Amino acid sequence: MIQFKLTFDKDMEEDWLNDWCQRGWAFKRFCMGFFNFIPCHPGEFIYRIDLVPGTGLRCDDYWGYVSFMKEMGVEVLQRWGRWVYLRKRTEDGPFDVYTDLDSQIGLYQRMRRLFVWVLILEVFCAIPSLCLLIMEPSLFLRCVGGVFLLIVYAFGRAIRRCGQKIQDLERRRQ
Amino acid sequence: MTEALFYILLAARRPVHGYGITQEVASLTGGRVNLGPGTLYGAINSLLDKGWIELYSAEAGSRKKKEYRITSQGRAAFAAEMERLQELVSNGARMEEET
Repeated sequence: MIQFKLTFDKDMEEDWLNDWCQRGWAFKRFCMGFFNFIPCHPGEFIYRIDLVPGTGLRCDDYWGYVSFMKEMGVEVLQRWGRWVYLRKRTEDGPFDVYTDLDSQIGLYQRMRRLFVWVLILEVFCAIPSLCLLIMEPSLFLRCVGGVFLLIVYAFGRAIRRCGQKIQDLERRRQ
Repeated sequence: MTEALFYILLAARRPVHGYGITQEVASLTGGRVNLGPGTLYGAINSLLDKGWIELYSAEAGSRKKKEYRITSQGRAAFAAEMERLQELVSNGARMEEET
């Protein structure tokens, strides 16, 4: 079964994947917002999402990360840049990737940095189209501008949500 | 020093795998401190960067089963942290007695 979902909210995406698993569908692959699910026993797996340490879209040591996770009994299902989908069998016990406030804050800070980086890249790439739109406002360029604004809105929202999560966690740490 | 770093240094007094660290820390704290894989991965890399632990061994031809061991720098940092914690506890106890 294939489902489409596009979100930059890690927690929302995790909940969505775990919800499908509870209904007997195990997430297997992901590509451009399309998620492939295969049948499983309801609640067979716990899914988590992580952002591998690195710079921009490049991981510092992806294979080292994969080996470490494997050693810890965690399966790295899919990679999308530094965004990775992890899972563990429910029978193996609770599964949280980050278990203290410092490392949880670190994760959201990494995510926020990545979203800011992608947003800046996006704005930079859109400048020629926006200049053309101002000079010659054709229907095609208006559509391109609309898509660009949607992307800016989505990343802006993701950056704000990461900021809120960081604030909440820092408040709990004090 | 965070609690995770403190306990990793404690567990690494003998060569130990990543999974062994989580088991030992959970056992030492009666299950109160459970180190998630992401927390542990970040903490181990941070300690390796600081030179407080070192890679002791890795299975030949494989990236799996790396073992880590505390270094002399790590022992010094651990001793300094112990001293700081002891000072906290003794000052706390003294002030409690006085009031």
